[in-house]
Amino acid sequence: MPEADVPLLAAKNISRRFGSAPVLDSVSLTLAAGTLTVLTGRNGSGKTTLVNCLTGFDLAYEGEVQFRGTPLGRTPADGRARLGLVRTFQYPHVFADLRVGDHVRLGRLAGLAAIRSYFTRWGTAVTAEIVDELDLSPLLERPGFALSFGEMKVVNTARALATGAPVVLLDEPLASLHGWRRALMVRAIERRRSAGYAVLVIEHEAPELAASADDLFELEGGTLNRRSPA
Amino acid sequence: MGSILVAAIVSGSIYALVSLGFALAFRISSVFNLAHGILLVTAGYLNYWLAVQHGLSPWISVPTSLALVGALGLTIEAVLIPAAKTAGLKPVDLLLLSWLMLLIVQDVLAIAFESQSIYVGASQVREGWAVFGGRVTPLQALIVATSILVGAALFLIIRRSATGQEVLAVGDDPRLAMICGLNVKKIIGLNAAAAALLTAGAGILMSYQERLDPTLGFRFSVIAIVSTLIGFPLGPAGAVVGAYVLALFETLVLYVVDPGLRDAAVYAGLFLVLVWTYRRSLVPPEG
Amino acid sequence: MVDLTLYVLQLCVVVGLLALAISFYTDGLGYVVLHPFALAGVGAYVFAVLATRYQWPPILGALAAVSSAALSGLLCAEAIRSLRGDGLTLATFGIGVGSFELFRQLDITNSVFGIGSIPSLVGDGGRAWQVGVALLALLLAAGLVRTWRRSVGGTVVAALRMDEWGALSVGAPLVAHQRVTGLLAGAVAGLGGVYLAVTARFVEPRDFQVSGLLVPLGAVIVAGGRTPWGVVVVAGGIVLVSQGARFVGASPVVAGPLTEIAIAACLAAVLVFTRLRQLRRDNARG
Repeated sequence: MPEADVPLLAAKNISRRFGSAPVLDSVSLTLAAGTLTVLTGRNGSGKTTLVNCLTGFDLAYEGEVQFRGTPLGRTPADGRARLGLVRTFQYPHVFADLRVGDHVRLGRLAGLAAIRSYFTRWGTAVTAEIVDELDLSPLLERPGFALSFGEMKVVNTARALATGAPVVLLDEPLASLHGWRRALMVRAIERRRSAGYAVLVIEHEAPELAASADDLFELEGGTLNRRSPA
Repeated sequence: MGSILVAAIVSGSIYALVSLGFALAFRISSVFNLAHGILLVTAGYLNYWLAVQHGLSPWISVPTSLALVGALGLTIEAVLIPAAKTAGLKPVDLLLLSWLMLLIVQDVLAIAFESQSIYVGASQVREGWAVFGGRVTPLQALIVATSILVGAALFLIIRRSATGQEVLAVGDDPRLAMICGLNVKKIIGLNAAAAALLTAGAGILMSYQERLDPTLGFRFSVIAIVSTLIGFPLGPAGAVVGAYVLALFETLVLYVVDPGLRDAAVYAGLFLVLVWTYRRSLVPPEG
Repeated sequence: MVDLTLYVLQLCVVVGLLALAISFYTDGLGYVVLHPFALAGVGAYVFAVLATRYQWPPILGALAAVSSAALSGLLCAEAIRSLRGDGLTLATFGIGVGSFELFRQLDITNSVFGIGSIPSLVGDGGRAWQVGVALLALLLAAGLVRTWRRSVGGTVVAALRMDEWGALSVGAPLVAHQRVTGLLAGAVAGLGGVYLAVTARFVEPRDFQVSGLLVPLGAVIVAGGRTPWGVVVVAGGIVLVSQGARFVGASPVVAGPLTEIAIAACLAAVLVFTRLRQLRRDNARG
């Protein structure tokens, strides 16, 4: 469990241009342990680009990203994930031919050292807190291609949370979720905050999260502006 | 050194014509068509069959060969490849299928001509002119001049003319080009015909200069791909520059390292240029 | 007739091993690679040189040869790690054809003349020994593939194949897995090369042409990700069919080009059919 009051993620002056168009302009952001940060902004304002840069999926940025005070440099995405910085995707990336149970297990085991992973049997048992938290038991045997969009988003988030990484960047985790699934997801996010994780959520319309967030930012014109939680 | 340069320029000129043909086709299809070289070999063998085995005048055999092989190239680039793409075949599949087509045509030629290599040129060896320590025959000089002129012309056409811009547009985004009112099928057809004619022409010219055998098709496909990728920043016409660079590299290996490693040099070139061109940028493609 | 049977069996083993080597890539990371015959060539030539020129004991020579091929596989994997799709396939094609040219030119491989008088691994054992060695080689390789598939690593590479970004997002070490895949494919291909060397007792560059991949590649595509034994059976089946004419007394000099045309045409059809069927399935899934 991560200690409180230690800045887990620090982004300093992140700038990203596509050709001559600046998408991110000197964006700085700090995520502390045990906090929930909500990031909003119009479509195309660069929220996903920011997450891509922070998590190493896009390394063509200027500026610095630090994890627990250590500069990440050009560490690629998988390296950052193994360090403890995971993310989900706006359009969920699920594994078409793997079952939901396998997704959760992969969250836990994918980061194993390659050599060791070949000497470890895959097995089938899925025992993870996240399965009960998000009520995934009925879906465990369902293959990725047979999931609805909302179910894909839940599985995407479950997979990321199963890693146990202390910094979690969730890209629209509540999209297409309603009723009890939505409530479960909100509760899971809140529980992570209480447990000392640093959670960043990108959402347009999430009053239940915005109200309790520790920080609320809006990305507009490439700059990050602080807003007060409602 | 002079003779190395001359040798490189002479072989580079044929590479340039073939590569130009491939580069044009590649600009639109983005397919590594390993079967492209069969246009060169088929044209040469067809011309030989008509001119030598059937005694027809070159004024008949050459245009006939060009027309028939042009039609073959048109079928591959303007009919088969677009149909395969529409059906959902991926670039890897098309690469493999083109390789299989190459093998099949190569074997058909081998069976039809009993694996004989062919030569249509004049039986007396022309002396040629002495240039910088090497020798250049009038035909070789003609091929060099042709490759440079055609390359330059193509460069200007692509950059300056409406047709050239249309080709680029279709290559970048055929759907968008169609929405903008371009006749995509006609442009693909024209482009494919030009590509095929250039390559077929190179094959026929080559058959008057040196021996052709069925396996040359593969070698020239690879040469065309490497040249196109080397010259990529300059557009399709950059394949001419790429061809001469590759010819120089190959000739250096031939004269300085080991004559037997000449072909290996081309394949090493393929490997190197691919790794360089497609090296992961800082943003891996999403997938 | 018995000699012909043994020859075809040995051919089945070599093709089967090559198919298993390819399957580490196609059923794992999903890359289509065309250089395994070059890796087999490394295995075969290292064994041949060590056994004939330096008189190494055959078992040691075989171990050294398989290790060399594995190392070559690793180096190739490292070199192509930035590539994907058709660019990657074409680059491995370049490695395959380039290696063939090197085998033809270098003095150490005795250029086009090849290396002969290669000692057998089991002395001049009878038919039973030969069949036993064949089955042992296949058992080893198939067992390796099976263990690999059922491991965590095997699932991680499958995940990388299905969705690379999804797998990277949970920390799948892509480069390390690329290296291990190269190592495993090289080892199994090298085993195929060693087996070819000890059974044919003679290796020449022609044994390792890229077009030799037609059959193993076809086997992997037809087997479509099924069990390793499925891959081996399909590979053997294709070999039997293509060599079938010889069983009914056809000329031993089978029209090489004609066989190649038939195999290439069949592989093209299989490729198109498999892809279209997969697309239809994906569309039905929605």
